[in-house]
Amino acid sequence: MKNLDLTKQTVASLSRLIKSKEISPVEVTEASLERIAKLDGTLKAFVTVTESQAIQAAKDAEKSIMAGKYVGPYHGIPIGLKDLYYTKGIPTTASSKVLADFIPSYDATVVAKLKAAGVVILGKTNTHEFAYGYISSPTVNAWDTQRIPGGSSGGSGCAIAASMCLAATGTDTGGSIRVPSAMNGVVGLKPTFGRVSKYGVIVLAWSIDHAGPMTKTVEDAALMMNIIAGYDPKDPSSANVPVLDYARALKGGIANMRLGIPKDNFLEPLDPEVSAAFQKAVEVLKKLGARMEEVSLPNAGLAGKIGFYMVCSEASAYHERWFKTKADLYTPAVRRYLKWGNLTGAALYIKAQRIRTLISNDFDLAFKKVDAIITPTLPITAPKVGEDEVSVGTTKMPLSDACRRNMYPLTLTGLPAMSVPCGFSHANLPIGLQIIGRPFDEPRVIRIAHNYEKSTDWHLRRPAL
Amino acid sequence: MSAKLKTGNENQDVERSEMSRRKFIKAAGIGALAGPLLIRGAGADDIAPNTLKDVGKQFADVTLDEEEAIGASKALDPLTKILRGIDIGEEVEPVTIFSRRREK
Repeated sequence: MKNLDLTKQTVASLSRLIKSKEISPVEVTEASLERIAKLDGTLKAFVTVTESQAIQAAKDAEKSIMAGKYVGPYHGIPIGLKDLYYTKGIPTTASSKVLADFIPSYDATVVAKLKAAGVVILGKTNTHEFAYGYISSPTVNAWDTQRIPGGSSGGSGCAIAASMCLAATGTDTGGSIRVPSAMNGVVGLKPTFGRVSKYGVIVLAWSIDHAGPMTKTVEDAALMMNIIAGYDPKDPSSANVPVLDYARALKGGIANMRLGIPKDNFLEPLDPEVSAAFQKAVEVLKKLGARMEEVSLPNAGLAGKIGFYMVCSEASAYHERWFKTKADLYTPAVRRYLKWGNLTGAALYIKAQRIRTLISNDFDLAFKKVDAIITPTLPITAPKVGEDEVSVGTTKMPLSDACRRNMYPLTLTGLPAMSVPCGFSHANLPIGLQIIGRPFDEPRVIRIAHNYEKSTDWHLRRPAL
Repeated sequence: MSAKLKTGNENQDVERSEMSRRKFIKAAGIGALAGPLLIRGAGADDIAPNTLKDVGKQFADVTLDEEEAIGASKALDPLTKILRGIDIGEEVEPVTIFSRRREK
């Protein structure tokens, strides 16, 4: 299939062709590498491309499949890995000069699981330095190269949207899976805290970090969750909770499901185009049989502030050893954050953790009334490169505040949250819908998202590249 | 003692949550919780840049130049005020990595 149009493929559609031996992983990998060669000079989504290893892995996958040893839907599928994930023998830099020469001697648990599932690793995708921000420079947005891709998993979001890879991994502390997913028009799932191992993933903040999939469709995310979810004794924050079959969650409707819409904090202010797209998404979900109910999450409005305070504190603790000897190698913005983190107070950090308990209590109460909660992923679409302040409707606010607001409540509480494309602005920029579930209720989140996705065609749009 | 509201009475829980919210707002001395303009309006002078320079040097082995000290003051002063201004009540435990493990 030399004329395969990679831009129109998903993991699910390609895996059927690979399984039936109609297409070889080598062809798919070569097509991906050609696309990277063509586009990445402009998009700069990858920090490392492992071309020769990828071709070898694809040949190995082809050999196994031809020998009747097909292992599953990601067998022979080319993916990207955020440059925070340890990869044995491949540089892992966190997109920082501090780790420019670091080559891990082992794989992160997620990477090991993906390798066992037969993936082909194309390379490492760019992240905001040490995941500490939303810009992810020098990567640009796949829909408009004058705009940011979001972050910190901006390289993964851009690479998927531009069809340079079929799927990728991300991490999410203050929205770093969901922000770039929304800004690039792809799907991103931040699983429940402890659901996916973080062993071998470079830390931003121990108590808030999450690892998860970024894909073109909800189905592809579910299929990746079937590989990477599960207890890992090497990760002290890993949860020993049974893993469900996330692909099964794709079956069945959402009739009579109760969906909560927050009456406070998540919806004000909103860009008018985001607001309109969200309202339309609500109508689609209603037509599918879901019932909408207002829920109150009064303390969630503090999440962005206290989340940032905690990240400052934890990140500075994590970086202590490097900061003493390599401070000059950090970018000025991250160096500044790391200095701030050394000035936070222990008592106030603990107080922030207590407020975190109250935010969790809000969600506990809300989930007595509803099965899931929906919000816009972000109040804005992707701003232009260099914009530190954005207009959200008539309100001006720092870009970081706009990105944090609907994100931190879910990382602080550890609840699963998924972003799916739900529209485009007049400037042809993607808009995201966020679906939030109870702890470990990823199957319900996936089901809602999949039903919504099937009823719309936003996920089928691709940037003209 | 856990602060989770486990009365089983939803209405009562909602009321308690609403009371908690009002208490928050009153104690924090702010009209709206954590609005985007809050940081800018909170008065960045109370934890002055020079104070942060001294604290950084004496307690954290961190040296701040003038610009960094001003930035730190603008960022940390309002966050500190918000956190100090909130009266949570003694029954609320902090979330920690370890408590999150217990929850599982």
